[in-house]
Amino acid sequence: MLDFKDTELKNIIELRGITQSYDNGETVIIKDLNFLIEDKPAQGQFVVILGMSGCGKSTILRYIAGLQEPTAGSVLVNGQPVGADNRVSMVFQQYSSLPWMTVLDNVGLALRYKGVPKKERDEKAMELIELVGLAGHEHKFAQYPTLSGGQLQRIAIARSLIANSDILLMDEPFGALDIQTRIQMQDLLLSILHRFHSTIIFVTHDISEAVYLGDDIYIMKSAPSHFVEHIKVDLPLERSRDTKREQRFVDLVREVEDRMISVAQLG
Amino acid sequence: MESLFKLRGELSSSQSILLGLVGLALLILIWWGIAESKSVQFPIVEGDKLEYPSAIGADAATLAVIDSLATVDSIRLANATEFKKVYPIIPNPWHVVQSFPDLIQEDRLLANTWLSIWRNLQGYLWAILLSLPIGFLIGLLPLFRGMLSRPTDALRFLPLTALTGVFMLAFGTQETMKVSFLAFGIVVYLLPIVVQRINEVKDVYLKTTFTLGATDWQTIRTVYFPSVISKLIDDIRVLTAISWTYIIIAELLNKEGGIGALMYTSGRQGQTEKVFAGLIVIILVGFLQDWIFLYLERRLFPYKHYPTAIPGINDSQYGIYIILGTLLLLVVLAMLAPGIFASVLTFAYIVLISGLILIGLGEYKIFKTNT
Repeated sequence: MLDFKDTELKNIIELRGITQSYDNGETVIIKDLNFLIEDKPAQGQFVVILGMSGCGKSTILRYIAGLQEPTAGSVLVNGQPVGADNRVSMVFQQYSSLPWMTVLDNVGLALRYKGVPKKERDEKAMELIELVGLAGHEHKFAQYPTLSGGQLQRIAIARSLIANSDILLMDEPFGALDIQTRIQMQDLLLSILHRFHSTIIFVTHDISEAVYLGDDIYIMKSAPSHFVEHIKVDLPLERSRDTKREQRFVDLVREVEDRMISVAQLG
Repeated sequence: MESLFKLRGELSSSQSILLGLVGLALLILIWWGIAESKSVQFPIVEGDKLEYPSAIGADAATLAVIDSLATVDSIRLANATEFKKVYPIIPNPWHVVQSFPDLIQEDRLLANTWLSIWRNLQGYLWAILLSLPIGFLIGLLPLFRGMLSRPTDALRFLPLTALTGVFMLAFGTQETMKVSFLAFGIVVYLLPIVVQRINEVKDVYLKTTFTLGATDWQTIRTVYFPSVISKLIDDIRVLTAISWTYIIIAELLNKEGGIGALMYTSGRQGQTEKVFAGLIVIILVGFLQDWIFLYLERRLFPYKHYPTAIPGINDSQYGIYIILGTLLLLVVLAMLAPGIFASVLTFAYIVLISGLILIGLGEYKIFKTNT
């Protein structure tokens, strides 16, 4: 069991006593779930949530994004209940770009919603388009197959960064990508983490991806869902493909795998 | 040759033109064959009017239809000065072509066609004006969905043609009745489609814009409208075919102008070639409509046809908005305030022409940047 102690640090995300039930409490999906992510300013952090399909990983992200409300318990972002003022953006596994808009307009969406004038938001969007490596594609309509799956996810990442680069929620964002693109996207995420010092909360079921990207890995168990394991990844902050060949990486992958299997048996 | 029989095989552009012509020729050939097989040698007596190539006046044609040649009355047979080949049921294609000058001069074909197009346009725009807001209310707000989704489904089953009497009682026999009959006929189909298109909006778009901080109205503006209307434009294009059926029915009710009334009257007078000529005009107008819808789609929703945003497209879009807006206003005034309609008509023409000029300008810009 995890227990969270009060610390000096500001809590960037906090889920307290979450219960999710359906059919007037007859079916309980999540019970007494607590989850706390402390702010690490000027550093950022990569939090990975691992778990088997249907264990409620995505539900946690939906709570934080405000897309779903728990039956009981509270969800706090930056110390405030989730609402219009502390909206956190999310990258989904499905392609989520609006096909009737260009890449430029898609990336600038959050600024448009805030009422930023077009010229200004185009400039800012262009900066991020360059950052995620999509320069030259800005006037294309954001749809498949004009743009590849990887490019569409780059749009989604740039769009989320422009909305709020402090916190990024990612729900299996690379699930539909081929292995080569996936590796490129992983490195892109790490570079973003180091540049913006974001808190990235990343849901996946790929253990090697979790170890490679994560600073903290949380393993969820299902029926009823809650967090059962917390693994600190003690790899160096700067990672590359060489990291995956280090003994420590291999050991960690094995350790996480063992724990996931024991969690599965536990359930 | 083999490629022509491959399942879902592709045609080259020259093949497709050639096959299109062959198809058209076959169609005309079959038409001609049927017309010839249904033709009769009709005895002509002194005093018969020989105005029309297919028949000898209404009475003679009716006779020819009812009686076969053998039973045409014996007096007529005895007095026959000559025999003439007539086409009492299906007209000869060439006679149809020949009937056009007469149709244009005597029967004011162009004015009648224009009248039908104007009625169609009014019915259509009213239908859209009603279906869009109601459809969005039903599709988006549970309150209205709960109250109205069943009744709108029920509307589709109304046998509208049986209600013409009710429409005449409610709206008179003039234009208002025709336009509202047509509008109602389209709304019953369009409204459920609007609701369906709203339901089809991808959930992931809505979730995304929500997490990006969009308000409800911003989500409607940036997700629902573009998604729904870009699909509706296709649905509306398909429905225009149905609307021609309705407008013809509406025009038969008092036969005051319009291509439907013209065709009906010609048919009753045995001038079947004029009926077929009317059909051809309607088909041509239908093709023109299709072309206009395709153009609208390319300019208002370029993402469906092009990979990249088109520079200079804005002028064309503004032109389209100006024309659509003006037409909407005209259509509303024509029904609700005919007096104002008449007085703003000249001004409206000027605005419409400015819209067209703007479109032309935009198209020139697009053409220039493409080359």
